[in-house]
Amino acid sequence: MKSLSLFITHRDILWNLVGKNLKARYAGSVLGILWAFINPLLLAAIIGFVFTNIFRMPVENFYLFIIAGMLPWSCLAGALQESALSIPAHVSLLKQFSIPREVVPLSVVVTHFVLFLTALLAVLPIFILSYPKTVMFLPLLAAAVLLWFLFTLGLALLLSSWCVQNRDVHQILGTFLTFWLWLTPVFYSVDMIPEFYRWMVLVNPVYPFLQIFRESLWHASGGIVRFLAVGILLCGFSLAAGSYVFARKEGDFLKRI
Amino acid sequence: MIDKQPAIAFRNVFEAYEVEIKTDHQIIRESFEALKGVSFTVQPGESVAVMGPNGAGKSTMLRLIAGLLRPEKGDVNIHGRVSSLLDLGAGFHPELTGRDNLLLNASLYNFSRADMNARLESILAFADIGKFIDVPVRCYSQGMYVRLAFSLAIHVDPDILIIDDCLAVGDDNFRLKSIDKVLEFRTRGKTVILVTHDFAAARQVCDRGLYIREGRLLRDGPVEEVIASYVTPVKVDADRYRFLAAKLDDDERRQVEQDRLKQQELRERRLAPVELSVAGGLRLIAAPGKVQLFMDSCQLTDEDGIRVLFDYGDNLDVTSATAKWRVLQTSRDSVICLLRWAGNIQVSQIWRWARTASGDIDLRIEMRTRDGRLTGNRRVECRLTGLGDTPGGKNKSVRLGADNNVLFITGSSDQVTGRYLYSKGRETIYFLSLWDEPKPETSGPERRWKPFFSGTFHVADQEKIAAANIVDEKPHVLTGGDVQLFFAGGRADLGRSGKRLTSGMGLYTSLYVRGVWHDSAQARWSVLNGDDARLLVKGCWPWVPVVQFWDIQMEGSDRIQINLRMKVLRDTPIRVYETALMLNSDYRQWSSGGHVNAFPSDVTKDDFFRICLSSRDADGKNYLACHGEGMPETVFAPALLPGQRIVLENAGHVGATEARLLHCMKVFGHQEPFMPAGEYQLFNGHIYIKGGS
Repeated sequence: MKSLSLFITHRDILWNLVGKNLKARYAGSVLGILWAFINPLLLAAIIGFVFTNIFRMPVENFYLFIIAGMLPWSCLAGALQESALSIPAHVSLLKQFSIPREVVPLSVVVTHFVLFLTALLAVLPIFILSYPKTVMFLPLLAAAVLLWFLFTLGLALLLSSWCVQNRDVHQILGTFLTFWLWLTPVFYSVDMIPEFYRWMVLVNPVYPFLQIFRESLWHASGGIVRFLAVGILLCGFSLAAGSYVFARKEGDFLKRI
Repeated sequence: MIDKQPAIAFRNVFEAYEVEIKTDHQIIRESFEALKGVSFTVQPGESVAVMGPNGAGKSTMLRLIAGLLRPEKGDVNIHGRVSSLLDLGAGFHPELTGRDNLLLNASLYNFSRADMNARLESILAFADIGKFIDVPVRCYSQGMYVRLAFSLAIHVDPDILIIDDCLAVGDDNFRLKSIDKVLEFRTRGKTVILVTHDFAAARQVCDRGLYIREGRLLRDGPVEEVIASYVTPVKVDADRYRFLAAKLDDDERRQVEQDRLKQQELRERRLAPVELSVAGGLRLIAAPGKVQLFMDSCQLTDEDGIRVLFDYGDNLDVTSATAKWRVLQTSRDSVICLLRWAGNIQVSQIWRWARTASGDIDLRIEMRTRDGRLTGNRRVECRLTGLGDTPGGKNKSVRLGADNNVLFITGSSDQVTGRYLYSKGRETIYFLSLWDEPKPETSGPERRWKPFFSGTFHVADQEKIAAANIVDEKPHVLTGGDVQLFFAGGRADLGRSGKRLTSGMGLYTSLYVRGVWHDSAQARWSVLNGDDARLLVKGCWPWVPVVQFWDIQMEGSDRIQINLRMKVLRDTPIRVYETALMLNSDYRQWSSGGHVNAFPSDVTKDDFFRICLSSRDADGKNYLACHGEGMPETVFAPALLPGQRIVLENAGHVGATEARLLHCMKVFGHQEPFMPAGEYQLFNGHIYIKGGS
């Protein structure tokens, strides 16, 4: 897993790029990194309002339920959207320096996880106040974040190299992510899905990760070992596919952009 | 060098891009070969200029060296840290400030932050962009961009520095500074790769040149040779060849290729510098647009060397430096070149350089025009490395420097010499044609070859030059009683009973045009009609399109009638014209109706005396009388024309000669920009020489 070894061999470059991404992201904005949790919280508030008052969801502590799902999801969606265009966006760097190119999507993913963790730490006290048991589950939460990171990274590598060759991928990505979001039990729980469609959730690779997050934050019911096992498997699969495709295409990057 | 490995080694490198060709109906994917089997090695410490037309594969090569691309086939081996200046702004993020970008780049160059901070000071000092260093890079001008990028590239301590033609963006100051820095970098045994279209920079920085075209390395050698071969190929032929090649089979293609090479060889021969030397040590090197003259090992001419200038219709000062140049014939004894100009200047010239038996170099220039729009202002210029000298004073020859004996002698009578100091200690000498009234044309269009200039570069010995210094020009003498007038070369002296009344220039005329005074002594004069009592002369002027006719007549023993006319051949911005009489400084008083006034006794620069008169005598005539101990009273009495006035001054401030200067001048206001072509009365009046001793 070359991209992970970069954490050690090219850590200076990586952290500088992350720093650059963060600075560039909030260049000229007053609230700066506060947006990292203002945005998902606002979204959660709106969705929570709609679902509790209009659709009348029978879920206990529904806002927390949504936040526990929204934060990881928006991290994934943001990282994928940005990493899809990361190679063309960093063309000026790639034309100047002969650096391992994995560092570019890697830095994008790390950037989004920095934002994710910031937001997570900000909302964690609320969870702890509502469910004091959460403190016990913090190691599980850490494991969830780690697995989630590896899974996202694999997809980001795949998408970033794929998009260099085929820009259409990025166009469809936004729509696809929205579609995926609705198919994923973020705003609803699995129990609400009619038995007939349940399989759709079961084949959704995001579902196990969400369950781990929910288990540690919101305390969904059981089956955590099974989800962890599937999650690890999915991570390995995602990373392997991403690394393989990226390594095969990377030689052509400069010729294509 | 401890490291014996080459810094850069290419072995049979191929690189290809896939390009999409989008037409209306379909998209064709095609492989485009940017490099087709390139091999070379560069040793540490070498500096190499990479040249070639756009799209030749230069950038691809640089990217391979920088490790940004991997070769399709073949090997690329690089030893050492590479820093590159490939694309303007590469490596900088627009939203970050210059300083943040430097820190980011530092990590990309594998520098620690501490290392970078240590260098920051000198990077900023070199880039010299002031407070802009803390401004987001997107606000930078291109110049600032390149300043910062170059400064960074050179300060990260690379072993190989790659520069891709972006220095041209900086201003002169920065460019010179950068070139200095690159040269310094070279002396430390580092490798420099420079892609440039600026031959001067290539020559300055690099010893070796690579010439790439269509993905192939065509030449690899000393930079001068490679530049020569780069200049030669002409694009049109390559296009024609490609067009033909697409249609032909192999045999025909080979034939066309051979043709092309032959053409190219011919062209190279036509453009290559040719040399002509004679036994005396005189040597001439003629290259397109530049002809330089050497004596032994000493270069006599500089910059543009020897060139011609002429006016053609509205094109003023068309010069041979911009001509298309072709060597028609070259042998041990002669060189013949054909010069043609582009655009609407339909002029051809043939320059013939020939050795003579006496060890001189002869130059004959002939000229042909399509429609005869050629005008007078023709001249041959020779830019010297030192100061020229005009031995013999008069118009025939110029010495190419005070410390050599090379004379440039005109071979035709309608050319005069001139000298012009163009920078400290350096002079331009020239032969320039005279303006004359147009002669009635004998034949129709000017399709014939006509002489433009002929002259000789002659190595004389010192005695000959000294002998030439003594002017033996016989003046024309008018006599009336004991008063005599001597006319020679555009000036006249007055004398009575063997005593000279005038000094310096005597009687002369002068014109002030475009900030320069042109006086009658520069013109060439010919006597139209003359006897003891009357003289009619014509003067043809260089520079100013003017012909003057002087009619001087002795009327008895004390009166000289002077009538000067001027023909202006083309509209000319003549600001002032004047007729002047320079009298001996023994004249001490002047009067103009009534009072007698004294001239200031000392003629110094500080005591500048000048007075304008408009008084008339009892008859309504203007006059100015000068008196002096032992001198006859001299009266200057012009019949003033509208706008003319008499000006009196001490001439000491003008030059070394002390004299009383009496002018009759007309000064045009600024609302009258030029004198239209036509004939003008310049001066009409008398000079009286009365009484005295």
